[in-house]
Formats: sequence, C-alpha cells, structure tokens
Amino acid sequence: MNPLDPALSLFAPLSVALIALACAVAILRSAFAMALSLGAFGLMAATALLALGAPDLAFAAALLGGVAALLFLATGLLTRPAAPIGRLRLSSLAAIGALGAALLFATPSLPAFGDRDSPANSGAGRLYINRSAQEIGAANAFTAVQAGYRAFDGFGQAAALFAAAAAAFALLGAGERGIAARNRLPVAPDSEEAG
Amino acid sequence: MSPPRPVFLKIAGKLFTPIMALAAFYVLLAGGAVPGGGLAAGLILALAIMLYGLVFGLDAAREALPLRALQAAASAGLLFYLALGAIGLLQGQAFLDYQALSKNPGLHGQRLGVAAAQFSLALAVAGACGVIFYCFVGRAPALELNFAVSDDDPPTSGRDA
Repeated sequence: MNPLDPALSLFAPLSVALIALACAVAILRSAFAMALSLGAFGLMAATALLALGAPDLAFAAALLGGVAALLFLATGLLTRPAAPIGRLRLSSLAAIGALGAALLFATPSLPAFGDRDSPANSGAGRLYINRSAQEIGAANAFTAVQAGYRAFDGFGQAAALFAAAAAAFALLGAGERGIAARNRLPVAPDSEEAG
Repeated sequence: MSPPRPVFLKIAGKLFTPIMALAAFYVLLAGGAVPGGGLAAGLILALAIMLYGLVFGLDAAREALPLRALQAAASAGLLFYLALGAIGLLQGQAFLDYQALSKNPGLHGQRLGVAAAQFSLALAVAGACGVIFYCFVGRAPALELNFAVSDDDPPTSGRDA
C-alpha cells in the first residue's frame, strides 16, 4: 500500500468521528438513539476500513453493523425496559478508560501500517498474495484466503453462528411456544408477562 | 394483521426487500472477483428478512418465510460445509481439501470448492441471523413500535421485580 494514498489521509478524521460516535453511544440514554448511533458507528468503521484499503472487511463491517443495529432497534423498540437506563457510572468509565489506556500503551509496539516485513505480511500473508491466483484461481485474494486456505475458519464461523441461533431459539423460543405466549397476552403495550 | 407503519416505511420495505435479496445473490456470485462473498451475501439476505419483519410485522414475515425454512437453511448450510470437508477426508486427504472434488489436476476442484464453501456459508449465515431475529422479535407481546424508551419512562410492573 502506497503510504501517500490520498484515501489514507481520511483515516484521522474518521477515527475522530468513530470516537465521537462511541462516546455518543455511552452517553445517550434513549435505546432508539443508542441503536442508531451504533449503526452509524458500524458504517463509520466500514468507511475507516475502506480508507485503509480493506474493501472486503469494510463490506463485512458495514453489514454486521447494520445487522447489529437492526437487532438492537428491534429489541429496543418492541420491548419495554424493565427499568430506565441508568446513568453512566464512574466505575465503568474508569474500567473502560483503563482498557483504552492499555490498548494505547500497546499500540506503538505494533508494526507500522503497510510494513512489508511485519509478521503478518512477510509470512503466510505474502504466500497467500503471491500464490492464491495460481493455487485457488480466485481473482480476489481475500476470497481465496477466506474460502480456500482458511476454509476451516469459515466453517468455524458458520458453526458459531449456528450455535448462537440454536441458543436464541432454545432460550427465547420463536416456535409455537412463542406464538402461544403472544396470543395469550393482551395486546396493550403496557402488558407484561405474568410470572 | 399488519402493524400500523408510516407510508414511507412500507414503500421502503416493499422496494428494498427484493432488491436486497437480489443483491445478496450478486454479491455471492461475484465474490471471487470483487469484494463480497458468502458472509456478506448471507448478511444482506438476513438484513432483507429483518427489514421485511420490522416493516410488515413478524406474522407477515413468518408467512412469507417460515421459521422452519430459516432453521432448515441454517442447518443445511452447516451440514453442506461439513460434507464439503468430508469429501476430502473420505478420499484420504485433508479436511476441506478441494483438490479431492475433481479428477482434473488444474484449478477446477479449487474453484468448485471455493464456490461451494461460499454458498454454504451464505446459507448458514442468513438462516442463523434470521432465526435469531425471529426469536428476539417473537418475544414482544405485540409488534408495536415503542419509541418512548427514555428516562422519563417509568418502569412498568417489573418483569424482574
């Protein structure tokens, strides 16, 4: 990646926007606004990845952000909170701050962006880039890695999502049980589950 | 019974659901050459299902695409992926070794394997995300948008109390 790439200069303002959106999610007290900010955060993260020259990751990040935001919107808008969303606690703020400081402390020891000799780029990464066209035959090296060389990880991805769906179904039950529960309950928005 | 929704939301839902479903197939098929692939295709399809469910209600979504179909898609995607890996294993090669898919020593087997893996990943992702959405939304007593979620909202007779 050319370090003088004009898209890279977008990364700094995008990072500032990312931090601002993250703070908005933490500070806002409305589930609707939080879900929307989370969706905006996902899209902004996708744009930042695009500026770094990773369109495949940007695509996946935008879609995952959209799925997450829609799920939060659905649960936030379709249910009523059992208790109002509490204020931002000082202890959680301190914990997040400590985590952020630790990450910032570790950042300088990472290899420089686009470093040809970094472990990720010089080992298997370079191998994949140089040989994927001949060995897998996909023009997009990312696809060759995801579905070819690291297909086992893709399998793990599918299995993890399947486990999540099975857990959601086992715990929440969208089958006949869920329909029966919905039909039994009065439709008034104030109604709550009994027992 | 469709829940009351603003007209623009209904039009957006009617307009975007088929376009998104079509886009998912494009992203799946073009994933070998341009950004995209199985995960992205599955997520787009799941987003189309969610959009339809949020706009027209869970009952309409379940009528158009039953829960059982989504469960079948999630399971079939995972099983198809497993079978794809088992083909290599049964021929005495590594798990998910696509060279076992074709007698041709060229790239034919690899291309076939990558396409099949993308397809099964898309199926598994779309099915699993759809099932999760149905489960989450199915818990709501009624599909009514409730925008009054704020500090001023007193807790109703507590589920946790």
